[in-house]
Amino acid sequence: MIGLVRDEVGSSVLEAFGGLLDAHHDLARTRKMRTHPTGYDDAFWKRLADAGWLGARVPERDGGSGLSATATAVIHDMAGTRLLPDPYLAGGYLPAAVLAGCPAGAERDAALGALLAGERRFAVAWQERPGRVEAADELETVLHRGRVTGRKRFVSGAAGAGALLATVSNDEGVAHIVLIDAAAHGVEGETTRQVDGSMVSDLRFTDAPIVADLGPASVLEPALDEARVAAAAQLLGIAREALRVTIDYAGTRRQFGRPIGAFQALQHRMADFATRIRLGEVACDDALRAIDAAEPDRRRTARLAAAAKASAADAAVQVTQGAIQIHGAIGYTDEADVGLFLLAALRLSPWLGTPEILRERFLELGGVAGDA
Amino acid sequence: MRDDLASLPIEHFRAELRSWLEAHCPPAIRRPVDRLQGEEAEHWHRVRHAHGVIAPGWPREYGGLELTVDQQIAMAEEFEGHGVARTFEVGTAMLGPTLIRFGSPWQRQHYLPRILSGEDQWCQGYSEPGAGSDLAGLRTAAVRDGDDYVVNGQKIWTSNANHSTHCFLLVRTSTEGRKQEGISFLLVDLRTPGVHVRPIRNLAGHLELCEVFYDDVRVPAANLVGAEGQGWTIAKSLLGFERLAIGSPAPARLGLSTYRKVADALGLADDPRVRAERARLELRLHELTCLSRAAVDAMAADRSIETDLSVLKIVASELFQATTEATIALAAEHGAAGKLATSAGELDLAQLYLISRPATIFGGSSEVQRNILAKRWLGLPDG
Repeated sequence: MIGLVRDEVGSSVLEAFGGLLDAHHDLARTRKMRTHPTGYDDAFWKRLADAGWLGARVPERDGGSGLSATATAVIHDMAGTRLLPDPYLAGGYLPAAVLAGCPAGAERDAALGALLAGERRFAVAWQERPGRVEAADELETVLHRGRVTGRKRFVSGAAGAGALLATVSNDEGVAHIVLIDAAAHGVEGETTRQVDGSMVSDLRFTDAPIVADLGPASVLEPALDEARVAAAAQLLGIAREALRVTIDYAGTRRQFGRPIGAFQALQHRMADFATRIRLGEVACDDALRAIDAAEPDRRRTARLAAAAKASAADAAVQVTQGAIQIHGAIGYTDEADVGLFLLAALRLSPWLGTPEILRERFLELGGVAGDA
Repeated sequence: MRDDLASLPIEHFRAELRSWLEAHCPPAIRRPVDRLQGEEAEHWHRVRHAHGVIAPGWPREYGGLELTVDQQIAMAEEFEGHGVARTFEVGTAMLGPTLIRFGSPWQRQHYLPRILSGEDQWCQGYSEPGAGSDLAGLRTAAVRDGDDYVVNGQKIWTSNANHSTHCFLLVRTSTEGRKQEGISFLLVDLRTPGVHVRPIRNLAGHLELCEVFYDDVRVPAANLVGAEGQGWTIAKSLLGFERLAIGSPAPARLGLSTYRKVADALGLADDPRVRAERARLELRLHELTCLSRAAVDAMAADRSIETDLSVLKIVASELFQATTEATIALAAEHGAAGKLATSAGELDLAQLYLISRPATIFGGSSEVQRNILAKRWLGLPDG
C-alpha cells in the first residue's frame, strides 16, 4: 500500500522520525500509557523536543524546522501506524501552529520557545459545544478586565499541560486567543479517560487571570484546518497498519485446509478496505497541496481539509472494525494488537469534527464543484 | 480547428475547444445521458473529422492530434461540459492505437485512414455466451485454410454491431497449452457472408448490444493482428489514455447533478436528509476526482497505474450507481414513473438509473476487479 511519503524531505522525515520510534517506542509503551495519569510520557516528550519534532512545522524564524505540511504528514502517518500514545498532535503540533500564527511579542515568543524546547506543555481550548467546528463563532467564554469566565469542552492534551490557549470573546465581542496558566486560580478541570487511554478535559474558568492576550482568534482557523489534515494522515496510518496486520494474519491463519486469506469473501472485503484507504490518501494529498500552495486560498484549504479528515475517518473506522472481524475471536481480545487500532480510530475520528459534520462543512464551502 | 491546438497553454486550449463546440456541435446531440448511434453518430464523426478534432491520442503521423494525457482529459471534460452525447469510439480509441502498436504496415496503411474518416465503423467482439468474466475460455474458432481463416462461433454483448461495418474479434486458433496462449486477434468485415447480427433490447429499451453469429466466415489472413496466439496480450494491453476513461467521474457527476435537480424540483433542496445525502455523495465524488487526477499524473510521469485502474473502475461505477439510486429514491413516485417534469425540462430518471446498472458488469465486473486487487495489490493467497 502507498502511504504518504511524497518527496525527498518526506523520506528523510520517515527515516529520522522512524529511527526515534524504533529506538524508544513500541506497542508495549502504548499499552502502558493507557493508564498513565496525564498521557504525557515526560522522557519521550523530551526526546521529541530535543530532536526538533515539536517545531517541525513552525517557521525557522520562530525556532522551528519550517517543513511543509506534506513532509510533516509523514510524522502523523507514523503516529498512526505505530499507535503513538503521546498527544503529539493536540499538545504539540496544534498549539505550536496557533502560537506561530499569533503576532510576535514577548509572551508569545517565550511561550513558543518553551513549547519547542519541551519545557512547557500547552493545550488549545476552543470548543464549547459538542459537534461544533467553528472556532470563533458565538463564544460564551468571555474576557473581561484580564479575567476569563466560561467553559471549554473536549480539550485534548490539557491533562499534564502547564498552559492553555483559550478562545474568548472580549468586551467588544471580538474573539481573541489568551494564554492562561493551567494552575491559575479560577481554572478547574475535569479529566476523563477516552477509549484508547488518552485523556480529555472539561475546563471551567471562573474569573481566571490571563497571562497574555495573544491577539485575534482568526489565527486559529488555519491551524485547526491543518490539524484536521494531520489527523487525517494519522487516521490513514492507523487504517493502513490495521489492514497490514490483518493481511498478515489472513495469510497465516489456516482453517478448512487453507489460509483464510484465500477465501474470496475476505479477499473482496480487504480489497475494499485498501480502496477506502487509497481514497482517503488522495483526498489527504489534495488538502496537503492546498496548504503548501504558494498562494494558499483559505476557503479552499478549509474545504479540502474537511474532506480529507471525513474521508480518512471513514476509512479508519471501517477498516479497523473490519480488521477485528477478520481476526475472528482473538480480534476481540485485549492481548491481540488489532483492537488497539479500532480504539485509536474511535477516539480520533470525532476530533475537530465528525465525518458527518465535516461532510456538511465540505458541502457548505462549495462541495465537489469548489464554489458556493 | 487551428493547427497549433496541441501547442496552446491549457486554458487557451480549453477555450478553443469550447468555442468550437459552441459553433459546430449540433444542438440536437447535446444529450449527456445518451449514446449516439447510426446516422447521428456518423454525422458527428464526419464533423469532427472535417475540423480535425478527432483521434486526440493518435500520433500526428497517423492523422491524430497527439495530445498529452492532460490535454486529452481536458478535451473530454470540455465535451462533457458542453453536454455532448457520447459515441462509441471503438475505432479511434481502441483499434487505432492497437494497430499503431501491433498492426502490420499494411493494416496501418489500409485501416487507419478509414477509421479516421469514419468510412469503417468498428465494434469489439470479445465476450461469448460461455465466456464473460472468464473471457480466456472463449471458443469462437478461426481455422487456417489457404490464405484465409474460417471463423465459426458466436459473440455476445457486442455493442453497436448493428451499426458497424467491421469488428475486431478474439478467436481461438489453438487448443494447446494455456487457454490464453491459443487466442488470436482478427479483423472482420461484418458484411462478409456468414455473419449474422441480432440486436438485443436492453432494460433501458435500447438496441445497442448484439449477438453476432459467425458461420464459416472467411477472413483474409492479412487481417490477423500480430502473431497467432498473441491475441490475449494485445487485448489486455488496452493502451494509453483510454484506460483512464473507464474510471471517469463524469457519469457520477451527471448522477449527482440530476439528484440536485430532482431535489430542487420537489422543493427538497434544504431538507436536512437531502443535504446529508448530497454531502455524502459529493465527498465520494471528490475522492474519485482526486484519484482520477492522481492516475493521470502517474500516467503522464510514466509511473505504473495498474492498481489504481482497478480501484477507479470499482469506485467510478459503484458511485455512479449510488448517485442514480439516491436520485430515483428521492424522486419517490416519480421514480416509478421514470420521468420528472422540471422547469428546465423533463428529467429521464429511469434512463439514467438503468444505464448505471451494467457499469459494474462490463469492462471487468466489480467482482473480478476485486479479485485483481486482492491478488496483485494485496498479495493474498490463492485458494
